[in-house]
Amino acid sequence: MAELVIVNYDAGNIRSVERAVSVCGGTPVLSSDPEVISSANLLILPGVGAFGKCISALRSKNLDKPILDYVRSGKPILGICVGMQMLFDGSWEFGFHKGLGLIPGEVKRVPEESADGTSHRVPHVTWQELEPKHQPWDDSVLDGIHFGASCYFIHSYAAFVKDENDVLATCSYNGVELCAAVRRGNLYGLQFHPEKSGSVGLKIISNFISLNEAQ
Amino acid sequence: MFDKNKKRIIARLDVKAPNLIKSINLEGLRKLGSPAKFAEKYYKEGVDEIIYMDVVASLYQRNGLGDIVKLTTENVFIPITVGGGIRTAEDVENMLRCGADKVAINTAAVSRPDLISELANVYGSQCIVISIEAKQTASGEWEAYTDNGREKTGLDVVEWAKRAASLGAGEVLLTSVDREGTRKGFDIELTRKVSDAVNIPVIASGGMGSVKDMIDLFGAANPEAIAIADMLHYERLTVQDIRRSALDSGIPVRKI
Repeated sequence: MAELVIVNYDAGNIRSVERAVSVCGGTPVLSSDPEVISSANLLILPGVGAFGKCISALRSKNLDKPILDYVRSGKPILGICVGMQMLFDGSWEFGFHKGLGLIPGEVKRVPEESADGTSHRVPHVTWQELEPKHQPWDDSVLDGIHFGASCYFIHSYAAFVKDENDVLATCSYNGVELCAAVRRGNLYGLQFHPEKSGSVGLKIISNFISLNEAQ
Repeated sequence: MFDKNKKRIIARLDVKAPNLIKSINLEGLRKLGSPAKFAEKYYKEGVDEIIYMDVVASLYQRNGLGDIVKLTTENVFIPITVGGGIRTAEDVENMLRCGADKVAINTAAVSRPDLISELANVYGSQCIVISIEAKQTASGEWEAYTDNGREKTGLDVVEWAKRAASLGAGEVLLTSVDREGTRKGFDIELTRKVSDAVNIPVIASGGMGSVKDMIDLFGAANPEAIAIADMLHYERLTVQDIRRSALDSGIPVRKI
């Protein structure tokens, strides 16, 4: 049984995810094999690009059901960027597309106005400070990360989470609160790219890997 | 009040494979060594992103950066943008596979602007950076160039930036050919015009000779990032020096 499987469905740069897992002591396996995916011990769902393209690529390779089977087993999954967004009910990027429906909420365009009403730039591209919401970070993928630690965001769409209790971390884009991380049990999603967030990001990936031992 | 969005400090490495080179006005001159080694050093110093530009790719219709990007991503865990000779979806795909996060396109977008939309639709706007080489032609006017400032396009820089943004580009890499490698400071007026004209992030590149140049730029124009080349390559400043000076002058940058 593979230890950590990265779902491989031609969704952009997964080499960096793979390499980050390796330097954090994991043994990543890239796979688009439904059986390998549903029987993984840890699963990472990456995603770069448009939501619709990503979710249809996943479905056309028949990988949605194995992911849902995996999640049902209660083992940890980490969605990154569009991989995180796909955990939700759906996204409004270029029309409405249904997601995996694992976390209630929808993905919508990042508001083009700051908190003071002036317009700001989209895509939202920068290093942003992570702030807590309702959930504690202890024993999560953010265990040991300091409030205010910075991670790299690059996105035009963001998750609007129905139940605030699912939100693990937020960031402020010129005063507009955006969802940065979600957690529902062993389901984790990160809007930012931990594999591109230097030592803070690597710590988060290490934390995810150690969830396997914690079980 | 709220904290303003963080400005990014980017290391720009112009490459003539397999070497990092130093250029003036985008003309390649001297070999400095392994690009991946330089990138790793800047990563350790806390730079926010890396930009690799293949300065001969357009001339030879190829991009020699794939292997350099692969090597870099072994040890560098920040975003990498690759430009120079990117022409097709296949080129983009190849660069992403090698570990790049974004691609910068210039020549191919000038000859066929719809390429911007096509690439943005597949890879997302955040992946597509429009690279504009700007040469001043008159007071307050700049023309876009390709091939490292050698070929005229007849396009007005501000209008071209707006068009590229509306076609789906996610960022503008704005290089002042006049200032590049001169250490005479950024072209503030150019940066202001472009960053006011578009609603996507603008990266100002070319001309930084001191931290004062950065402070002046962010004081008078509104780019989201600066790209720095030989100030870093020749160790005239470290990333830490630049970050500290930015924070001391109230420019919001990432705190490490």
